[in-house]
Amino acid sequence: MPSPRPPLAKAVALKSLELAVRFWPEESRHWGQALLAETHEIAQPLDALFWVLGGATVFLRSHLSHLFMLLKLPPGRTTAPLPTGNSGPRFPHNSRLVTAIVLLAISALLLLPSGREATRIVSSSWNDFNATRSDVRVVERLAAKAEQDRDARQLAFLSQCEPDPDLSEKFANRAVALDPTLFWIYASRFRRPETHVNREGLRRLQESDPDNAYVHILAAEAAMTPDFIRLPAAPDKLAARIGPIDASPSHEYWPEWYRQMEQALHASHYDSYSQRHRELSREGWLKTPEVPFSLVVYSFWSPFLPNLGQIKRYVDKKISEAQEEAAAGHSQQAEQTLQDVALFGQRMTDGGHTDFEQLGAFEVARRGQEALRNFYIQSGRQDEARAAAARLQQIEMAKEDWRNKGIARGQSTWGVFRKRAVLVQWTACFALMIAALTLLSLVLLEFRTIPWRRFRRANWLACRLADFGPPAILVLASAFLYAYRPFALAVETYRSTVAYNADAPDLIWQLGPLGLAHPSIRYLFQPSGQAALWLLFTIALSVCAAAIVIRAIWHHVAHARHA
Amino acid sequence: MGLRLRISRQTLNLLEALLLQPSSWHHGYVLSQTTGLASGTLYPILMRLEKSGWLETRWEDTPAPGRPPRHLYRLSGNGREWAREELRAAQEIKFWKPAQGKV
Repeated sequence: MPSPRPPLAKAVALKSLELAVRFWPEESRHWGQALLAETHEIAQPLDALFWVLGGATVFLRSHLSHLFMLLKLPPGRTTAPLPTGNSGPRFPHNSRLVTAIVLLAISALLLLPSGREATRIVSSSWNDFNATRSDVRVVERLAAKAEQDRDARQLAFLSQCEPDPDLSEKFANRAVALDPTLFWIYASRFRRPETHVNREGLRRLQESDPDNAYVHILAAEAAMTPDFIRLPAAPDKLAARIGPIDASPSHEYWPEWYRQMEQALHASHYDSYSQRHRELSREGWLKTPEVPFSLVVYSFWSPFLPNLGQIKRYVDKKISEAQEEAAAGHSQQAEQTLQDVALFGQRMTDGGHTDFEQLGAFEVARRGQEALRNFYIQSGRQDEARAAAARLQQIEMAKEDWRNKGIARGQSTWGVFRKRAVLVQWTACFALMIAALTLLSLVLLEFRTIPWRRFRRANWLACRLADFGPPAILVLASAFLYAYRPFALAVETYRSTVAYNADAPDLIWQLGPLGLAHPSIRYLFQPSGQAALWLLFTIALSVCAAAIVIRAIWHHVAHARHA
Repeated sequence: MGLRLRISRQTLNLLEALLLQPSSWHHGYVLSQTTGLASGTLYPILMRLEKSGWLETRWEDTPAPGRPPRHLYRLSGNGREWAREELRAAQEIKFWKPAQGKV
């Protein structure tokens, strides 16, 4: 006669405990079975349910104690007894607990804000400071928040960071709509990328700051853009900033280019907005430190530098025009033209804050002043010639002074940081390599995918890596953070500066050397390198899967034969 | 004495219950009812006692039809002596008092 069906509560209790017994740790499963057997004897369904609830706590305790036992054993070992003799596989000396503690210490070290920033900046340098897709997503998320908060300056900062020209333009438009004094933001994305010119932005720039020579120089560049885009892409970022110096404006675009340069010559001041750009980058980064460093670098590089070659070409043209005027007997006009050129150079020297602008400005001022001095000498005006010569000497001295202070300071900063950068890159590289090997060893040991008895040497190597890998990574991670300290300090100083300081060392000179990572490291972060890595990973996984399947089939066949 | 045990009042209650009929085998549910301990408290104590050599366990030879065999428990020879000692000591320091009369 079949036994009567138990009440629902008891049936649930029995089923739950049966399920728990199935997942009970091997070494204490008989206690689960004991609890289950007793449940059958309990007449009251509610009592049975409470009994099983108590059983659930025993189940949890058994798992905890099992886990603790596993933690006390080395990676790869289970609670099952070891085979006698020397036939079994080798295991590491350190327990899982020790390994886990060391790995946790490494994670804590690298996950602290300073460690996180160091890893972010250095890994970004391996990708040549290029933005990844996830970087861009961060900017878009921040832009949505800035839009919600109606934060014009933050939108302007994100416009400087955003590599996509259309999105950048959208952020810039919103920023200017919210705060019209931010009109200069249009200059930051002029020809970024090289073939892109935001003509509407340029128009608004000209409207807002018509007396700025820099704006007219940008307009002259825009007039020549078809010539630019026919040229091969600039080989590096620096060349992209300066533009192709030897490109000469073709006849077709000449009148507009010349008209704009004429307006630049007569404009009352020169301001490339570089101070405002830097201040905005600093402020934005300080406000949202989560902005990926690749995009902060993008923001640093965003101010467009005028094409110095074209400015020199224009100045030479003006000087030759003045010489022609002088030859034609129009001395007054010639003098005026040369004075305009010299003043233009002077205005650029006063208003240009970057090294490249200074370089061009001194050259323009020197050429103008030299031509003026020669003109006075030829005209027999000795006093004016002497005054022009004195001004020329002043310009030469200022240029030399700037070369000694600015360039030399930049070069020495670069040299100091270059040495540290080598240390940072090598420690990071070694730490990564050892981490990858250690992780592989731990995975192979834990999942027992390899019949270690047949691969004794590999077994020995995996055990050594599992024992010494984590402490080695800890030492290398500490060395990495120690070597990175000057860079962290430079970033901190940059962020904490209240106002822009032209005399402070440029952050690009300090962090730039990090970009000189070994080509093999950079290769790993390029798309082709990552594709190769994924291919290797897929092959390794496939080999592991095939090995498991073949092993299972082999065992099955051997078992069938034995039976 | 076997391995050192953390003797709580619940453990002393269980030892007392096991000592009532020291040579007989006891069922878990019966022990739970005698001592008033819930399964979540009783079984960890039983597990500890077994591990320390105080307790003998075995499976029922002839289970009821359609039911799994039950687990049975009794104190080992040494376990009985140690248990009596512990109960006496606990009584002396007034940490515990017997529920079932003098052991």
